[in-house]
Amino acid sequence: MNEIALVMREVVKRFGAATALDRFTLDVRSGELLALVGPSGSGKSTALHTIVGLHDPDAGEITLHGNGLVGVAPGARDVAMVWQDGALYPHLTVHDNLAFPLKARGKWGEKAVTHMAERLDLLDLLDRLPGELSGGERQRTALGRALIRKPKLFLLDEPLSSLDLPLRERLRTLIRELVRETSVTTVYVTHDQAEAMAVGDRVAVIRAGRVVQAATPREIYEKPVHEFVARFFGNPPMNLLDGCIEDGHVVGEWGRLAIDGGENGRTVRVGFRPEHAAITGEPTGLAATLRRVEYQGHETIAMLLARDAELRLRLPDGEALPNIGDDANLRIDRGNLHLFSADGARL
Amino acid sequence: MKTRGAVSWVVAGLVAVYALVPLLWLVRLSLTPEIEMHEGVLLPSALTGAHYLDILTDARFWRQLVNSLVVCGFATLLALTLGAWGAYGLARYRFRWRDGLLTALLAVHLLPGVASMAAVYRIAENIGALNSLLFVGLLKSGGATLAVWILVATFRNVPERLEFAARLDGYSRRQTMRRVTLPLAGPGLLAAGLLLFIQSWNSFFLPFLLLEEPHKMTLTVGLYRYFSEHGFQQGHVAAYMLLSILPVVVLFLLFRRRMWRNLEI
Amino acid sequence: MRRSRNRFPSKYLLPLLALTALVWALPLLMALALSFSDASPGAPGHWVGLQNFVRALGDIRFIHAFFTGVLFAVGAVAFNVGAGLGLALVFRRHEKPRALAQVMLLLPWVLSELAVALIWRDVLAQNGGLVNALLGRFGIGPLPWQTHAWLAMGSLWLATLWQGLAFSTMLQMAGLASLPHHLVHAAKLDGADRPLIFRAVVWPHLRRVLAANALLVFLLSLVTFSLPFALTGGGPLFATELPALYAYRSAFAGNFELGYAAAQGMLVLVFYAVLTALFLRLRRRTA
Repeated sequence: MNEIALVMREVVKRFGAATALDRFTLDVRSGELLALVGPSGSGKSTALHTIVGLHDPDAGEITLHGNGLVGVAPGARDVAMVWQDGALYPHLTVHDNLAFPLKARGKWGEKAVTHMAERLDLLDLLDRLPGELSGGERQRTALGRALIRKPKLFLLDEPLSSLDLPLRERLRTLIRELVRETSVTTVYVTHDQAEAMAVGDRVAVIRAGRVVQAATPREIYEKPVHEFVARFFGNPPMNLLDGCIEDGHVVGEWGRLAIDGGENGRTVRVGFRPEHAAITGEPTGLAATLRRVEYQGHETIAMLLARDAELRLRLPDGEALPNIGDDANLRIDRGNLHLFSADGARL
Repeated sequence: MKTRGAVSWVVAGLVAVYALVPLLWLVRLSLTPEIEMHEGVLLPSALTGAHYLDILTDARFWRQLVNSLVVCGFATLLALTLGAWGAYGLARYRFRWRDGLLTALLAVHLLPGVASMAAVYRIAENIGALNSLLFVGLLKSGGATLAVWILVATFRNVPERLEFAARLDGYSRRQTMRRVTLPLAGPGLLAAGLLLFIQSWNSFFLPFLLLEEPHKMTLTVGLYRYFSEHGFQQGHVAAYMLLSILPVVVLFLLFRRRMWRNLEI
Repeated sequence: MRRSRNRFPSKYLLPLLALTALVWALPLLMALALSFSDASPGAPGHWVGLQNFVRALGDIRFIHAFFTGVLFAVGAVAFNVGAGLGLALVFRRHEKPRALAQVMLLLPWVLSELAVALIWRDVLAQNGGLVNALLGRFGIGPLPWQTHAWLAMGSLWLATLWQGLAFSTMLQMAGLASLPHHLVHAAKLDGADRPLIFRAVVWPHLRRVLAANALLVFLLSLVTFSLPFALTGGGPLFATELPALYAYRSAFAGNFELGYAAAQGMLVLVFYAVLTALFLRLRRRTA
């Protein structure tokens, strides 16, 4: 699990005047499921396209188990892919769709098809055409077609985005199981941060064609390396306040928060997650006016205003709340504070 | 609204009469015994198959049928192959004068045949291709440029992603074409092929010019020949005509729905 | 697929373009060469410069054929486009009658022009023809379709309408279907009355479809051969001798002059080019 399977170094891809991949660098370990996540247009699909051979990069190297991929024909890369819309062959039955990749390599065997169909619960659907299948059944067939030839690399481009929630969860679990069972190196692209954290052994965050941070979900969440990553994960996103460091505190119009260390005079942003703040009776350095409350059942989301800064808190249900319009004192553990410099990097 | 509906039905009825009656008249002529032919009766007292029999036992008719099949088969095959091949390139590649080229290919059909008629004859003379069925077939394969329009739309409807998926699965370009692209383009290819076949089957001017020898004539030319020789035998001419248009009508009725759907693109 | 999708796909297009050049371009070039010669079937001929063209422009029979062709084409446009539009309007909201009419009209459409000509020759035969027989029932004397100039032209019009109506109707229906309804609704909301809506929204759109339809029918009708050849034979006495027919006769009857026929064809081609250019220029200006 520790050997690196896929290496992408300084990959650049331009489309006319726009740069989709800007010195994109990423390592994927053998057998792991790496979730590649980022906002729309950040280049995640383009990254997959260069790996799979749809486009060739303008610069940089891509190697799989030591073999360079750039310039190699797609069919010779031993890479398989699943798309958001499945891309099943509409004129072939489920059975033939599954068998298709095997026939190309002459490794056609009925047993392989049956086995895969069984694993994916498709045995009853073998004679159906893709047009007669539901969204979930189509994606399962797509998964089967991709994995049936035991590829060295498995790519998924937003495979669950067009499915509804309960289905998404089931398929997510299925994908994880399949990856585990076959130990195939997997890159899973999604724009949904929650999905990325649920599915990936590691998560890589891409922004404007570049990887900002690649780490385990926990590390991404607890130690975001950039303000962008901090706000991308977690719902509601992390609260950020502008301020200046002064004697072990970050000071701003909104009040002051005690921190560990830090140079005096430096302009920073201090952040804390909604679940890490509590409302107390005694004055802390941070007070805010309660503006709105949203009941979520197991918890309540409180929206407060500290001077001009909007803050969101996640409070467990049952906790006493002040009235709307009243001021509240917020207490946050120093250990749960994140400091970011003016350009967003973590301090 | 009720009256509007009635009006359109009446109009439809009139149109149907206008469209069908001449054909029905033809059928009537072909089945009327010779004696009653010129009596001005609308419906003959007895039907006869004698006219049809005479035509069907005439070796010339069968010879011409074969000639037509040769010419049209060759023309359609050639036009469909080159047309589909070219249409695939036009559908998948986005180059600068693509739309202009498509329009130009279509516009070529508006060129007046009268302009090139003499030249075609002269060329045929020079290369000894007068009375050559294959030469006529070659000329008729020019219909490919018209078919290209349907075929481009057909290939556009085959998602490029599917072709890529096949490449990724390990198939070569040729295999992908054979196993994915062509099967999916099937209906469009069929529609284009039918149109090409019908168009070449119906063509008269060029085959008439170039095929002077009786045993080389196509059915359409032979029909005119027969008419000019036996014009007074209306029954026979009518039977000849119906027999020569039968293949086209049959093809048309069989594939009407398919053709229509593909043309609506 | 990895190679640029923006370059010219020569591998795919070259065969088709080669065929097009061979079948369309080569004959035209040859026609140009022929038009400057006095060739005839079986004899190569010599260079005669512009002699053929000058002669054609002064040849009363050629001029007459040309204008007869224009007359026929204009009539064909009037009938085809007019009837096409009429049918499209009548059937606009009624699907079943439309389907019936469409299917019926498609049968004449798939026939060869020659068959159409021969059919109508029979139908309009002066003795024993269907139309005259029917008219006879109503006491109307047999009409001289073959011997009266205008009736002969009329027979051409009837036949070409019979065959071409399907196409024009289809075109007009597509035109009506693509009318921007939201603009009509917007205009209604703005309080415009029907004539204004028609002038401002419907007509500009309809005009384009009609114009395209008219041009196509005109260009295709002017040079038709099979119809005048087999239906009227150009008669009575050249009344329906269209350009293609006269050119054919110049080359393969009479004096057997291939060169002269080619020159006539070239002149028609020039007319086509000018007409199309004018059409495109007008279209661009009123877009």
